[in-house]
Amino acid sequence: MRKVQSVKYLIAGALVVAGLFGIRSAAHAALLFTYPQEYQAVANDTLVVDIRLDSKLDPVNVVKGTLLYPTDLLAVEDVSYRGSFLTLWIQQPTVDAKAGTVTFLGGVPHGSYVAGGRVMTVTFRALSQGTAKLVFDQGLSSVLLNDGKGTKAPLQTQQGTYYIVDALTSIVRIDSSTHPDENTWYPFNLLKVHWDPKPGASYSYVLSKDPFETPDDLADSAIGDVQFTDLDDGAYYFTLKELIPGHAWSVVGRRRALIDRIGPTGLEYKIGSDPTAYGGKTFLAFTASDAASGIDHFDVVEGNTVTSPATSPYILADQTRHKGIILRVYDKAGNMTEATVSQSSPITSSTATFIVVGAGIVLGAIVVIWIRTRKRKKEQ
Amino acid sequence: MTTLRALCRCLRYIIAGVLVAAMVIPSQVFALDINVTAEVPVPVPPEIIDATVIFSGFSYPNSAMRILKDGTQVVTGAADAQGRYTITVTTAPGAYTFGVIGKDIRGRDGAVTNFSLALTSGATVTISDVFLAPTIATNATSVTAGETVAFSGFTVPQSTVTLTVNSFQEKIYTATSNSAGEWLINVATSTFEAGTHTASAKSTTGTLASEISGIVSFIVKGAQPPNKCDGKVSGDINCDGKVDLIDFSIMLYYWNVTHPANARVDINADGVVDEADFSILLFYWTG
Repeated sequence: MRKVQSVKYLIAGALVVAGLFGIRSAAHAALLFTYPQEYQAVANDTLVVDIRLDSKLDPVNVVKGTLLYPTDLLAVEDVSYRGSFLTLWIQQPTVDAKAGTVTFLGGVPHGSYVAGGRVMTVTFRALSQGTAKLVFDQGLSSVLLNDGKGTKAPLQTQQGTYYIVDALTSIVRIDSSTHPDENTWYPFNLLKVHWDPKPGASYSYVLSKDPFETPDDLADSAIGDVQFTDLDDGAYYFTLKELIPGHAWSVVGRRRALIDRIGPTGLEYKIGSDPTAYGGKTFLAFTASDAASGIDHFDVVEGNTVTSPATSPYILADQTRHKGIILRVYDKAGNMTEATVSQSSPITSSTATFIVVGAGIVLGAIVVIWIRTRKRKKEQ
Repeated sequence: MTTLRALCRCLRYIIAGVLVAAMVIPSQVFALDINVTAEVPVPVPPEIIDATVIFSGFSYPNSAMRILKDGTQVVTGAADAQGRYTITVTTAPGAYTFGVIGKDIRGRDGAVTNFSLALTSGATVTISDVFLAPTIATNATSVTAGETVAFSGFTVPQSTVTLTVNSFQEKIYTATSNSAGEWLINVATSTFEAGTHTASAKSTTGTLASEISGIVSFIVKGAQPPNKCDGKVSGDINCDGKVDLIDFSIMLYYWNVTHPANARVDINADGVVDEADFSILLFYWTG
C-alpha cells in the first residue's frame, strides 16, 4: 500500500536548491561507482552489484567502462543492462572470466542528466572468504558529454569493497514453490516462501526490493509458510530473522525472487543499406529495452525461416525483400514482444507481365527453330 | 436355563460380530466428521512510500509544461509570464528517466531535457534552474541563394539567443528576446553554399545557460546541384536526413577502424571511429 510521505529530506550530494544546473564548472567530475559501496556477502551466496553514474552538472550520452574483480573470490553469473538509462550498446556488457573484467560501452540519444542512474547490473557468486574489491580501470573508463563534440567529461571512480564470510552454521534453508530458482526470472507475481521453523522460535521477516533491508525485531504471526500477492516486477529479497529463547535476534536466511510479467518495450527497427558497409547488403537494425529482467535475445523471421538469436544489424537472407519479416524480442522471463516489419510481397503485375512476355519469347524461339529444322530435313 | 444359555451364546456372537465389523468396515462409517480449518494470515506487504521530485526553472512565457516519466506524460503545469515554472511529480520509488518539455504560445514544443534519477522510498529531490532550450522554427525550408531565412522562437524574456548554423563553416548569430520572450534572427544566405543546412539555438540570461534547441534544416538552392551529403548534420552517415539506427549500424561496421573508407563515420575526423564519434552521433539523433 502506498502513501505520500509528508516528511521531506534532500538527497545529499549533487542536487541542491541554489542554482545547481545554472552554474557550470569544469571542476565537477562525473562519478562512476558500484552500488552498494560496501556489503557483507556469504560464501556461495549471490552478490548483486549495480554500476551507477552521477553526471553531476552536465548531461552525458556515452558511458564506457571496465570493471576489475578478483577471480579467486568472485565469479560472474550474469550481467544485465535491465533498467539502464543507456539504450544503445556499441559493446554489450561482456565478461572475461580469466582476466576478471567486465567491459561495456553504451549510449543514450540526446543525453541525460544522471543522478545515481543505473548503467548495468552484475550478479556475482561469492566463492570463498575474503575481501573483494571492485575497481574501475581508469584508463579504459570514460564518460562523454552530450555536447555534439565528443568531449570526455572529467571522471572520478569509486571502488566497492565486499566482505565475504563463511556460510552461517545457523542458516535456514528458504524455498519457494512459485520461484524455485533465485537466479531465474519468472512471470508470476504471487510469491510463496517456505522454511522449516525451529520449535519454540519466533521469526521476523521482510520482503523488499532493497537487498540491504533487514526485518525488525517484532515477531510475525505467520511462520513457516508465507505468501505475497500482486507484486510489481523487480528483484525481491526475502530476509528472515530468528529469535530462539535465550538468544538475540539474528538473520538466518535470505532468498531472492525475480519477477517480470511485462514484455520488452520500445521495440524500434529500421531497414537500410549503405554501399560502404556490410557489402552493400540490406540489413535490419533493431533495439528494445526491458525494465525488469532485461533483454534476452531477438528472433528474426523471414518467411518460414527463423534466425534465433539474431543480432543487430541483421543482414537479410532475402535481399529481394519479397518475404515477410517479423521481429520478436524476448526478455529473460520469456515474455515476448513482436512487430511485423514487412508483409510478404506477392509477385507484382509488372513482374508477372515480364514473366509472361519472357516465356512467350522463349517459346516462340523454340517453335521457329523446330519448324526450320523440320523444313531442312524435308528438303534433304 | 437353556434359553438363558442360548441367549448368552447369541449375545457373545453378536458382540464378536460387532468387533469384527468394527475392524473390517472402513472407519469412516463410524468416524465423526470433525473439520479443522486454519487460516494462514497473509502478511501485509511492506509499506512503500512515494518519492517526490520537484522541477523548477525557466521555460517560455505562459508555456504549457509537461513532465514525462520513461516517455509517458505524468504531470502537466504552466510557466508564468516570465517563463518561470515549478512542477511536482510524485511517484513510487525506483529508477526513472524524467523529461521536461515546454510548449510555447505558438504551440511549438521545445527540446526535451532529461534527468535519470534513482529514487528511494520517501525521498524528495529538488532539481532547480532547469533552463529549457528555446523553441525554434524557420519561415522557409527552401530558399534561393541570397534570400533571407528568418529563424524565430520563444525563450525567457530579455535573454541573449545564440543561433548556430551548420554549414561548411559554422556561422553564429545573436539576438535578444523581447519582453514576451520572442526572438527573431534573419539570416542572409548569400554566402551559403548550395545544399541542406541545419541550425540550432541556445539562450543565456545572467549566469544561466539553456540547453541546445532542437535542430531545424533548410535548403539553399543554387546554380550547382547539391552533393547529397552537403550540409547534412554530423552523425547522418548515410545522408538521408536522419540520424537513426541505420547510421548507428554503419558506425558499428566501422567500429575502431582507423581512417575508414566511409569518412563520414569518423565524425570528428580524428582518424579513428570510437566513442567520441558515437557521442556526436547520439547528440544529433533524430530517430
